[in-house]
Amino acid sequence: MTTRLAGMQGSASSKVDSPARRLAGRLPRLGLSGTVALATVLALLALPLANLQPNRILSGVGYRLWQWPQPATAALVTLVFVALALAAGFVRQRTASTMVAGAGAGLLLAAAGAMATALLTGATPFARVSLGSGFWIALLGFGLIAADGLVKLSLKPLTRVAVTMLAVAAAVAILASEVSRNLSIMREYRNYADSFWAEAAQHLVLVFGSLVPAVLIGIPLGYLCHRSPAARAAALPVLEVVQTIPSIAMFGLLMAPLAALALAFPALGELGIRGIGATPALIALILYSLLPVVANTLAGFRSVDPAVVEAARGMGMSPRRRLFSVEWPLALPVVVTGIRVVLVQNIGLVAIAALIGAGGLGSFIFRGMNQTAMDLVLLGAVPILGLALASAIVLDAVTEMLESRG
Amino acid sequence: MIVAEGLTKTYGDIPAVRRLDFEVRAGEVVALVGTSGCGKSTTLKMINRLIEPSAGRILVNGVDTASVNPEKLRLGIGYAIQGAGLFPHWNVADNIATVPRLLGWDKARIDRRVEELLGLLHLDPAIFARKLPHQLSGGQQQRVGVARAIAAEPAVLLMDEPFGALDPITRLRLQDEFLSLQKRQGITVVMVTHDMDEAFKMAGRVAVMDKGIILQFDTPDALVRRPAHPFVRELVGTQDSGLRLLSLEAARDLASPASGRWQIENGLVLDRERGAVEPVLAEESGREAASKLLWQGADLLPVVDAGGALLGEVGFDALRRAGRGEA
Repeated sequence: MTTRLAGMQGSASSKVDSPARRLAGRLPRLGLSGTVALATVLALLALPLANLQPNRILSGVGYRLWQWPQPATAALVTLVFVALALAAGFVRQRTASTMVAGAGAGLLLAAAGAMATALLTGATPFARVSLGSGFWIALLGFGLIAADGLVKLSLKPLTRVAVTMLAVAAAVAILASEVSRNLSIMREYRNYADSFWAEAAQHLVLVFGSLVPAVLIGIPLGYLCHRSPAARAAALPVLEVVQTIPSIAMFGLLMAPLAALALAFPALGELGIRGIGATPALIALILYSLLPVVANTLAGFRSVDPAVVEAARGMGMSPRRRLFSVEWPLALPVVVTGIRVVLVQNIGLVAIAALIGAGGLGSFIFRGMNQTAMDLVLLGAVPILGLALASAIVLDAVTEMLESRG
Repeated sequence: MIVAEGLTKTYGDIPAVRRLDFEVRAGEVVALVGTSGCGKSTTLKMINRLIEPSAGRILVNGVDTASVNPEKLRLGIGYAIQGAGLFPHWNVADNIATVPRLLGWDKARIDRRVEELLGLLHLDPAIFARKLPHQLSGGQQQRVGVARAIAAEPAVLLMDEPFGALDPITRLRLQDEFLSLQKRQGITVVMVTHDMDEAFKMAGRVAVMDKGIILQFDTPDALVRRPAHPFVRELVGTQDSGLRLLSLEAARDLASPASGRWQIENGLVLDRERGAVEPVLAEESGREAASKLLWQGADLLPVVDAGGALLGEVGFDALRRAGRGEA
């Protein structure tokens, strides 16, 4: 009723200067970022920014932004973040609100680190400060407003990649700086500093070690499916069934035959072909990757206008020339979309491969779960999330550039 | 120029084209017409071997096409299709340069030819050369399609309903442009169409096809006056044969010497009895002249050339004779 009234009297409300009506007149114009901003403020005020735990495993006591140990700082930071959230949500100028939201996310991370240092002053050496639910929800809030702003700014693909890189670099810089050193996740990082980078590298080796063969096999196979209905009828159903096997089951299924193989031929075992480790992980990941690559290659070639192919034939282009200068360039954007799916999917799936000893960032997740150390889980999960998001953004930009190239 | 001997195409047991014998002379425009599925497109595509004949042979300039590599054969035969089929990722200049590039022309020669063709087809090179196909209108795309087909100066051009996807006004304009281009360049053209008006307007001879055979292959005039088969009569249409015959005559040829009735002032043509009139242009057909006479309620109109000079006059008497085939 209020909204309808406001809607009908939208122009009148500016003349009749009642505060209630003015508020009602504004409500429908709240928009996405405004709503998210209000939720962010609510999360910051009502939910803990950080938890002080007696040790690494026991759950602790939550501290809200305004419960900062020093009252003066508490008032200041509360004001600053409420102002940042409201500015991000309600400033009309898009570039400004997007930058404020980005800055809010970065400052929030720094503030959590600073709060950890303040909370740990005088605590036992075993005490830990982990990130609280208020932090995560507010981070999500700032992130959503920033992402929404970036989409609406409709930046050029390369600019979008640059902004993504900048955001990742800023987050890494804040985490690596002195201000974050007392956060529990960074304490976990220092405990595992050596293996962290080795596991991160192993993660990427597994991701690209499966992506590259999948692309090399999948694209020719997709083209074959395009040319030959028989190949299509044979290949696609098999790949679709493979895709429905749960990943843990797939790793398990591969362990037995590979172990038997290594036992029968010890030479293979010395090459690293064993029931556990990287080999079964790579095989499973390649199998999972094939369907998106093959299906998108097929869809890409099918999306080429038959009149264009007929014209190319009629002009006197040889089949090879037709493929490489007409069909393939026109199919490529759709193929890259398939590669994007595989890349993002594999970054996540590799985490599970840690279960069969393939290594990767997933090993921190499972170790953390075993020790009920949530921050160790995060040490694995956060970089995986970042990798997946960043590669999705980069490949979307590549697709867009390929499409606009005409 | 093009000779088909016993040309046959069967799909399994189903014949699509049966034992065709025909000849297309150098420099003429031949239209293959008929209803869908009559075999006209199949016949066209057998000329450049997009479809391989099941039996019979085709000679182009005395050379059996089966003895030439099909890609090499096609490089020497222009090909334009409905909807143009331009390469969407290449700009206009690159599209037109397709065959010259395949033939290995040097860049300067290709650039000159592209510019020349764009000019011939009334597309300003400065504006259109760098545009992508999706930035063009349907008519512009079709112009580029024709330019691409004749870029390497082929002696023979095959067209499969090239103007089929266009609106009527654009289609008429492109037909006129294409005809004047064809006359200047002397290209031999074989085109497929299901539009009888288009066939009559464009072609010197028309092959009427049905169920894979040619029922009659003759001039438009003969098709109207002496249809060899009931199907030809049906396709040509009996109600408007008079108008069809009129459409085959140019107003220039129907005109009689001008009486003293007309006067030209500042580019305006005046009838001493009725004031300003819209004259018949020399290149217009008898059909268009009839339309102008009816529309202006006149029984006589002046005929002027492109420069606006008085050539003569045309009236219903002359049209009546032409419509009965007595011209």
